[in-house]
Amino acid sequence: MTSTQTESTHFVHGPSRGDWDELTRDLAIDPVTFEVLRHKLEAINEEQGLALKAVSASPVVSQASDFGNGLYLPDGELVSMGPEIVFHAGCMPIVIRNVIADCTENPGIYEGDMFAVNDPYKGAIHHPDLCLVAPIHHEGEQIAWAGVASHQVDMGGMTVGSLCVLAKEKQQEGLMLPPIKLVEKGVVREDVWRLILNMTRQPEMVGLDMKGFVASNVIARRRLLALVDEYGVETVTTVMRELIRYSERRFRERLLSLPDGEFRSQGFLDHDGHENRIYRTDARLTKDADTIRVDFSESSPQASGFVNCTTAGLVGAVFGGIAPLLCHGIPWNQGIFNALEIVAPEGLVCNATSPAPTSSATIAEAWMIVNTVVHAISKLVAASESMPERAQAVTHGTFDSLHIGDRNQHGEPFGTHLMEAQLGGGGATAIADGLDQSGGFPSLRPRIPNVESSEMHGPLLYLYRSFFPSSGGDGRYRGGRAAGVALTPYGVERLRCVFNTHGVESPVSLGLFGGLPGVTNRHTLVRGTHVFELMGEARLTLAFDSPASPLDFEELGGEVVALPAKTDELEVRPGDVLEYRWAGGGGFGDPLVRDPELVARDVGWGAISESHAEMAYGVVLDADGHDPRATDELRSTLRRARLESAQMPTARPSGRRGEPVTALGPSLRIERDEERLHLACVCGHSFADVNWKLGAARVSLYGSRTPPQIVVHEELELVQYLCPACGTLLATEVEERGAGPLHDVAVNWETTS
Amino acid sequence: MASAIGIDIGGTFTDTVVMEGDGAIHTYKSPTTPHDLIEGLIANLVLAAENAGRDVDEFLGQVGRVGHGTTAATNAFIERRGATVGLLTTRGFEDTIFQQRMLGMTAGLTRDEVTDYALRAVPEPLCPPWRVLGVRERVDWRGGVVTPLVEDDVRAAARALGAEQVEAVAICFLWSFKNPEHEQRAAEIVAEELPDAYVSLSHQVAPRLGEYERMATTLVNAYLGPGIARYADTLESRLEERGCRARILLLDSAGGMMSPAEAGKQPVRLLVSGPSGGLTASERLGATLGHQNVITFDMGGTSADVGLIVDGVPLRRQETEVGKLHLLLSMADITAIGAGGGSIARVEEGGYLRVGPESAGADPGPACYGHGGEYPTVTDADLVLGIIDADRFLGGRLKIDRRAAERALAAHVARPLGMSVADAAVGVKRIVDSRMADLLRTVTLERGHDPRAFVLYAFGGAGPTHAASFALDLVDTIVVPATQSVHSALGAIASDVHLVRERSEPMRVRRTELPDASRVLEIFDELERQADSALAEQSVEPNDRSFERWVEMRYARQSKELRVPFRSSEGLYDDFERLYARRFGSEAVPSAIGYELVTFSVEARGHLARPELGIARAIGSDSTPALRGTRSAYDPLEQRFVPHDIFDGEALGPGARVEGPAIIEFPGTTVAVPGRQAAAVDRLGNITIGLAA
Repeated sequence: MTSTQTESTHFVHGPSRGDWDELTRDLAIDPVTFEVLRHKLEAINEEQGLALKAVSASPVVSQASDFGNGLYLPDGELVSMGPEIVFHAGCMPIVIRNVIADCTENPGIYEGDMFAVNDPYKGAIHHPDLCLVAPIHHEGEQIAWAGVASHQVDMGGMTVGSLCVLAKEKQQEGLMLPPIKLVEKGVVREDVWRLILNMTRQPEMVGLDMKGFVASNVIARRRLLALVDEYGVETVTTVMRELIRYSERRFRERLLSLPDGEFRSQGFLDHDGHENRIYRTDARLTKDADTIRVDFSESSPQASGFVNCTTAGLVGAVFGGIAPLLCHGIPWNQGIFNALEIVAPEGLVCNATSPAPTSSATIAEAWMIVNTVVHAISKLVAASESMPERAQAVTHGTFDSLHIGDRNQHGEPFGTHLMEAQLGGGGATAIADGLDQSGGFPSLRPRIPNVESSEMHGPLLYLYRSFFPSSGGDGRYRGGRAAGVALTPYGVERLRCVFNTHGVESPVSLGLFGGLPGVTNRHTLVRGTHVFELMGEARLTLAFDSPASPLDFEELGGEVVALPAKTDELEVRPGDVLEYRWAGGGGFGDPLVRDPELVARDVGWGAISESHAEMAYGVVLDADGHDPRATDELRSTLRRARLESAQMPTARPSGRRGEPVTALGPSLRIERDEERLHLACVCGHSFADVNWKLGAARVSLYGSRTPPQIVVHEELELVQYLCPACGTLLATEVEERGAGPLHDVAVNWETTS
Repeated sequence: MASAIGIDIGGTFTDTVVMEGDGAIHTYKSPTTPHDLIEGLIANLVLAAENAGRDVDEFLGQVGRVGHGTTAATNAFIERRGATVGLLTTRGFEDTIFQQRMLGMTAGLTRDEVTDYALRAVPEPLCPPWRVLGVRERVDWRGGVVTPLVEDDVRAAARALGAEQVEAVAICFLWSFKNPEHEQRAAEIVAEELPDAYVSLSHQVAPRLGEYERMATTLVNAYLGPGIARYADTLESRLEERGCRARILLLDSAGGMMSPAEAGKQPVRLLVSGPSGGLTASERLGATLGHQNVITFDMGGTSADVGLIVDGVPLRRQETEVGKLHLLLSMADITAIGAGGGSIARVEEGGYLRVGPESAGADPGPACYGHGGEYPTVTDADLVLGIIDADRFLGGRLKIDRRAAERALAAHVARPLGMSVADAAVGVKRIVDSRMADLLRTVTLERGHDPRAFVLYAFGGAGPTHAASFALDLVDTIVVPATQSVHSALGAIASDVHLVRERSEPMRVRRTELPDASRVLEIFDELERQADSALAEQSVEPNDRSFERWVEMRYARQSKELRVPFRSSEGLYDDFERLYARRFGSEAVPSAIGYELVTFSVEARGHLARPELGIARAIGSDSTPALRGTRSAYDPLEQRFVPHDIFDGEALGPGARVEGPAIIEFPGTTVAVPGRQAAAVDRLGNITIGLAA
């Protein structure tokens, strides 16, 4: 596990070592002024966001808050950011560095300029994310940048909505702006403005967003210069730099409190737009003293389709996975990046080279990177003494994009992603169930529209918008439930729609320490149904206790088409029913040790069915809740049955007993014997081998053993690792067929006390 | 003779203002009695009668009006002591109230907290999922029936809820504001099956677009309904028992008054009435003093609340978040931050100083209270800075300990940062004052106003102590109202009967067309008829009724509406565009997009006789007799300790002038006037602070 990565030189970020003399020196400014100005810089971020939201008409901005803004040092280092989408924190500095590299000489960077960028090879995560950055000058000298980025509803290309499923090179995906001057010395360049609007199917929406961008940067510039007037340029720029140093120090100190070692996770993306094949994201995380390195070298080569992400997406996504887990209470800025190293050779699905298409990057590979990093970091956190409660399974491992467009019932051009696909499926943590209304890990304040708003603006009739029972990953703590909708075109003759996600044939909301993944996504189109007739006669079946679908497809009539993860444009008409369900959250720990009271409550609240309580949790219910004796019996039976169906380990247990060092999740312990650290089950059984899974009993869940509502691609295998002595479930993993167990935890014996 | 009594039941104190026929004011304060709020209220009235040297029954018999702000609804909601409630909704959408548009899990988190995912949490439900029942029915966006209401579903649901012993039922169907027939019919069936249940219908409580917020509002209304209806009945009968023949009115969240009967129908309107009293009292004071534009700044123990009065009208908002639920509720547009006298100062890892949002509250309170508070607070800093006096805090009723404040500041701020205790206290004050300045700035600018056009009204326990330190950079004048710490209770007699009748009726209009004028007028006329009869029910005479028409509109497909006063269909777009440009800047006005008129509302007022605020009790324009002495205190403008003149505020009469640096002490608050500023007492006892001439 240690051999390849230490030799790697493919740094896309870093290398990095803390300079502790520098980090621990006193603040270069009095602590009161520091706090006063820190707050004023954050107030500027807030106003930047308000300015954009006020003007934008795009539901992506106003409803999903899919935008980011911030203030940066003259070299692009992030100083402070708005509380919206975390991805943009990582990519905006790359945008600014590319503006500096490409534009300093020609056309020059002057006071009052603003530069637009959306080329993913120049810093955007994918090309629908339009970025606008503005240098801020004081008395002729640049003191900062302001910047804002948001997802545009359409930036041209082969497919409505610009996520171009059929593209094989970036030129097919639409308008790609390398750094280009949109505002020159305070005046909008109308030629460039028109160029951009000329390439989008939604010029009205994009035009408003660009107005919002300009307003946002103008406000940032005005406010920062007002601060400079009041406090002096030296003080303001000192605070900006000190804020970064402060965060770096806090973050590195926090890292020092975590054990050293290597923690690895993999995630598998299904379907690249052309072929339904599997792409591996392999995050090998090394925590060494005050630095975290994430090495993606073992990830799959880049895809021919639009699922890839570039360096910008990789850096943004690694930050998006790490910051919410490890950086609570620390201002998010360059200081956090300073303690990170990211390694990835070029040409991988997570670090693609031009002209590989990337238009789906945010919700494809970048999302997978977040999932995988969250999973790996959680293993590190679980092994710590300082914050084990923060370990969590994967939250909502997909954003299932359904883009619907054409004209609406008012005759206006129309096109939108259904933002409610953010809903559902929070990952369970070491101490709590995942939230049902979670989802969209990189989104700090997600929100979805009301059904009434969607039906007002779009030609749609919703049949339901619901959570699904028994859809969160089972575990000692349960993953949040999956949600889904069914709808039909309404008040128009036709609509065009595109499905685009992964996780249809690959469980991506992975559980942790035995917890199961949440259900996989599912897309169904039923063409030519009698839905209006059924609704008119109040005969439409909606059975919400069914884990598969509340609809009765037979009753609906028509032709049922199971759609893959990704589709080309489909034409749908009134009476065609689109149903889709999004991932549940991953579970945490063995479901057979879940508190039976919680299981009984889940049944009472409709979160799981009674039969699921028995099959997955071994809990027998009676009139007053659960029957303790019958539950104990059933749980023992289920544990025995697990071991009976398992392949027992070839490696023998060492029999060595060690001193416990720390817990690793609910059922594993890290122990120290005379020679090394090894893992042991809470029952006392010790795993002698370097990779503990080689000493565990193994069960492959396929065919009838596959958990309900989970679909596993033929290249993949859903596998469980059990304690061979007591049958406790220790890991539920997705592996490539034949790949063998991933060696996922190796705590450093030398440096961990 | 008392003409009006205002009573504000807050979380800690019940404040009472008695206004005499000549406008003279007496104030009383007593601890709130949480087990029986009305008992505390009666106790206050007994106190008032005794002070007037009168028999209680006789005293109450002569009162013309009792205005009442109450925390009863808030308490029941926060502590989940409301009714056992059930919810009927459109089948297929039973999870709406739990999905909360995903707003619930991060609701109420500050910017610093929102990056900590461990703090994400959903609210404790008012109604468990098994009491949320879907019935077959469906209406579309035009109001057309897609699925007729299945009455058997409603009947079965009502019976199931009956078996669960529900006391109240909320009914919220999709698009019911466009077509209320299904909700109306469902209500009839529920009434047949559950004749004793309190029923709330979404098209009546909040007939607005957006099913989650409409449902949450209706559900909260049902949840509070039975309890508040009982409260209102009890209030009336207990006052009647004491011989009170006064008109009794309750203060709502928007600063308007309503009859107890109306409160029983729309209890959700009482939910956030707390901050509305101060704003309403300020509106009244502003009208008297001729201030059209006022920023209200109410800084208490745990938070600072900022509101705006623009052109004489307090700003309201139509949506709010309370306890992680999102409600369509017309309320005072107050912005609060967690910074008050009790906010705790601490040194962060890495060596910088922060203040709040943690608060020492009332218990243990600041370190200087000596009740076990270990950490230094803003009040401790004010004490160390000499701005408040250990012997005269709360009129000397609470002994506070300066040494304890110094010890706390030394241990938790000065020593870790290597500075003196005095500098530590200065640091705490600078940070709090600068946050307040940021808050005032954002609140006004965010709403499209320039703070320089406003006067600041500072009240609450800590407001007058801090306002002059930072606010004269933003405004020219600060007013500390004569009613400083019981300002909210004054609000309860300063307002009018107020109600809103509204309806979403989305209309898309091309830029070149006018909205269908006859349809718009039809909607307004209908709403006005409803409002008119609701005023009549509350015994408002026809001559005292007035109505305002409003349209909430936006550019087509934008998500935020602006409220525009409706004058005519022809002038509507111009009025809208003017407001839009003022709010977002003229560069943001789109050129080619049509409009969407979303919600129409009629705001109705029943004008109540308003006794003029009377003159102040203290006499003498000479400030010398009020001078208590001098002491060294910190002057934030000079940035050093200088001698301050100390005045007894209650001895300063109309016309008195005080030159800063000075400190004016009242029983409920301390007014700090830094150097180069001057304070003057007006004829009503208000203190006006500005730059010295």
